[in-house]
Amino acid sequence: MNSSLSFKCIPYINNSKRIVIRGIYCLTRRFKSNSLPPDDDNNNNNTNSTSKKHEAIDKLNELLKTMKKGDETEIPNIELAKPRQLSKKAAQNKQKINELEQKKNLGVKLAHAATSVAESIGGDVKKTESELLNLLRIYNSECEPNNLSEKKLTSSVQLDDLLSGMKIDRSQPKVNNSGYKDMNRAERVRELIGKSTDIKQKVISYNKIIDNYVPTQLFSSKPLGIFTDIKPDKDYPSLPTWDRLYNKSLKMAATHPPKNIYEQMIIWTEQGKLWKFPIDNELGMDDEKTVFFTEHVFLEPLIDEWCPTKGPIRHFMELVCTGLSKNPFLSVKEKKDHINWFRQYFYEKNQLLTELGTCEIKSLPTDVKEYYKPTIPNE
Amino acid sequence: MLNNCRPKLLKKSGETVQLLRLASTNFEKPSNNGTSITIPKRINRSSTDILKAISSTIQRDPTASHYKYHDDPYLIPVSNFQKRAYALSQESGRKSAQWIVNQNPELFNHKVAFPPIEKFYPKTVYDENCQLDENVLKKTIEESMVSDSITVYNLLSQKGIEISSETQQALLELVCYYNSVDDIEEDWIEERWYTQSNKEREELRNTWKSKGFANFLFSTIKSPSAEHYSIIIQGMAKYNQFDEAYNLYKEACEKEFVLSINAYNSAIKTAIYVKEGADHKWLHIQEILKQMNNLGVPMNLLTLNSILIVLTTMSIKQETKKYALKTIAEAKQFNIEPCLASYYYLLQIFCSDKKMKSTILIDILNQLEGKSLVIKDLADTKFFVTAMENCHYHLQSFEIALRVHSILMTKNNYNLIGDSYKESVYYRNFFSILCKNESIELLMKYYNDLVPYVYIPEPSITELIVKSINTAAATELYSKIWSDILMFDQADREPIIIELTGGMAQNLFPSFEQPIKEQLGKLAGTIFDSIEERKEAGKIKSPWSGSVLGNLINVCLFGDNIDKASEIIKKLHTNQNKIIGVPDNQTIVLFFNYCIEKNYFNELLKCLEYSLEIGYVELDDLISKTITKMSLTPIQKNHLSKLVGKEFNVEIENNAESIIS
Repeated sequence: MNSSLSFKCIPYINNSKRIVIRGIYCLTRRFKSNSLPPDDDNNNNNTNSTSKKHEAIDKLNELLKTMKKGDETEIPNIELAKPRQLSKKAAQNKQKINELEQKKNLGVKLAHAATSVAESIGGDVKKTESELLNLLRIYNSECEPNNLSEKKLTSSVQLDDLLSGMKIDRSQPKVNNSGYKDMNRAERVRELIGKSTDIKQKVISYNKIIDNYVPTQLFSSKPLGIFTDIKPDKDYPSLPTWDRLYNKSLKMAATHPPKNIYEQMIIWTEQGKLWKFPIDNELGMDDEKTVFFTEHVFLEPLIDEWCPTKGPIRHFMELVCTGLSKNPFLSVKEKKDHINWFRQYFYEKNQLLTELGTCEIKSLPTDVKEYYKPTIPNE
Repeated sequence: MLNNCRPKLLKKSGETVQLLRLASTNFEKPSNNGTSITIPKRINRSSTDILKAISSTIQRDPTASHYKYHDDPYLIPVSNFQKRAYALSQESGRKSAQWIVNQNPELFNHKVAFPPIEKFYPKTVYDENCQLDENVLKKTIEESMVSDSITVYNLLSQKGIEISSETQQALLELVCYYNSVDDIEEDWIEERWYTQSNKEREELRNTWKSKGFANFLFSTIKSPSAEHYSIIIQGMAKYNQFDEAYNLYKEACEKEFVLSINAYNSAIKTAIYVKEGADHKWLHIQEILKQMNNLGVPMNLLTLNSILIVLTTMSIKQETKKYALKTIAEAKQFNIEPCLASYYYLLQIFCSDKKMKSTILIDILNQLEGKSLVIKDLADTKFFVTAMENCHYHLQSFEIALRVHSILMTKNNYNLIGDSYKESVYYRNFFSILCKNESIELLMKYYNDLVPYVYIPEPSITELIVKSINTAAATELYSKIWSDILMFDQADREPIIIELTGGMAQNLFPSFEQPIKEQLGKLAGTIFDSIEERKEAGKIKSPWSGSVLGNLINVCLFGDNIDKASEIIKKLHTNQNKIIGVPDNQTIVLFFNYCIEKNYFNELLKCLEYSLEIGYVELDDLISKTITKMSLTPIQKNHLSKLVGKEFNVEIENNAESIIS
């Protein structure tokens, strides 16, 4: 069967990716046909404890050899690549945590592989163990009745493989008369995990750097002692534009796309696109802030000094003042200029006024602007 | 007395009650403790304070996309690519609008608002015809317009207009700060959000424009002052022109100038390239610090950070750690608190060694917890992403990661996340730790909260999440994760598919209730269909693999989805040359058993045809089982014998009969 298979696959072997896939396939096939399901092992164990021991060790060695050769490309070796490749995550973890561990004996290595799988499931050891146990129980009760116990595990985290390996190794010292066959698989595992305290300790020393937490005193070190002679009033150059630009880029580095309309409005306000809160109708009228409202409203004093006390001109100018006092669009200065324009106008008409005998405008304001000079109509 | 009256009064109209309230507050106050009312002082609020207050009441809604995508529900992004494309195209629209305004300023003379909004004015263009004086230059410097300032300066010097030394210094500061190039405008927040990290990567090499305007301007100054030296040194050091910066520093020292603090900081930074070896670098630092002390220039936060930057480039770890702590202690003497950037450098110094692990992050977190952090150094934004990376690779602890995360989430600290790239690296590490260390429930809690609107997992993280689901046998999550994979456009990633299908096939427990089984079966069918669709569309280049299809068949059969299962078998049969590998033995056995049990003869035939071509080992048993267990019509038997071959069929039949008898 295998030969026919490989024949089929030859056309594709050029493609390296396909080789890997095929490798995985072959691996899974061979894994199954060569190795006995764990339960069979246990049956053997039951009959003879020493043979069980040997078998277990052999199996472990097999497994670990495959792990070592994992990277080679030959097809028989690709089979070995699988545990490694698929448990990449765990292996990576392990390598990072402790490279020295690599040279330790094989049993420890496997145990570590198991622990790093355990590590990938849960934070603290107890929790992890209970979870593993739980999972195994599910597998056990679900799979065995359906004869699925040697079901292929394609997932990277080959819990079953690893744990059954661990089980063989660690169950050696235990003399079990009752026989595994009748025992619930979950019970077995539970017992084993409960007994193996040495593994637990290893997990702790290996897993938790945080347990070896030695506080580093950030501030209580001995200072350099270079700065001894600092006078606060000493003069050194300051660069205002540079500092301003630096602060600007700091602000921009902490400004991110707005998260809601209000943040958007904050940005718009800062850019001057929105009216500033609190909203009133005086935005941008900064010049008017310094002017009290009476100056806008009470303009009569401005005409008192030159205007006749009664008569049509007085009447007219009072109307002008009323109109101006209600005008929100002119500044105080513009209003004053406006009144001065009339003052000037009537001053130009002085001759006519005296002829009519009504009154006389005595003086001109000193600072009248050029363009407020009225053009005297040519009659 | 008032209290006695209250019940009566309350019965009366609302007005009376109001009066009573007013009265009671007025009466009761002096009687309580005789204190006089103090009117609190007026708090000056800025124009954005009220907006900030309202904004702070809005919680993040994990079921809503980011605000910038709200405008059009059709354009709510679901993958990282879309997020980037949509955000940038929105801003690009604004940019082109502004371009049109700048191209045709005469068309936009109408005033849309009073007071007029200067932001909406077309850009001023400066040329020979303009009435220019120094004030124009001052204004362009004020607005940080680099190229405009340079143009105006050139025009002014052409016309022979003198510029005051202050303005000249300001111009030099501007062009040195921006390396004679215009910066990204303030308005383009999205562009900065997405391109910041590219710029930072560029920052590692010497980008100083040696023929730029800054150098030219500096050379025109006949007798440069201490300020001018400070500016040019700072500018060169900012853009990694360390050699020249150091030369100028030495020149300034010879002239016995007192430089600005930042110029000394820049001089310290030049040690990265100017000096080699830890000892020389450290000597260099000490020399400059002593110089500062002699001249009476104090150190500041940036001095601390510059020293730490140099320390990160040293190779002798034990010494540098000592130096770093000493420097921090020195800064502490002058009440200089380290900022996030200092801690970022500390992490680099302490945690670069993979063998000697350091837990300094915990001490740093102790310092930071509960604080409202403000940006003080441009490198501050690198802290959180590095801290999370440290939790992942160095400490491998989810508890610490959670502490980092909670610091990030306090107050406005999220502003210090940096940019989109740093944010996604941050979450990538966060989810990796979660997947590797924590239960599936906790993982899903964060997953539901953050995915997809804050973070969309990269394919490698999706794979990790699928692995976690597989390990935890959380079958109920498969449909969710599959729809997410589709949404994130990651269905074309082979490792994810292999992981997912493998996990599904592995976690089939007969004790599931029928509806769940059917759901799984349907899901497997959907997975097959959508991958098939993508393969036909050419999105997925790699061919099907037999094991993935086998897994899908397993799940389909488990969920009574025989139609899909036989469709897959057909696919396997017709595309033998394209599919890599074959399904597992177990799958074929399962398929046979299922068909026999449910009496699906046609499907069984399909499978048989396929298995014969592939050459499965246990086929004899299966065929005999078919013959014995299934009640076949003569036509069906005929079919079977045609397929299997007459002689073989007879043999098997005989065997079967002998078993029966």
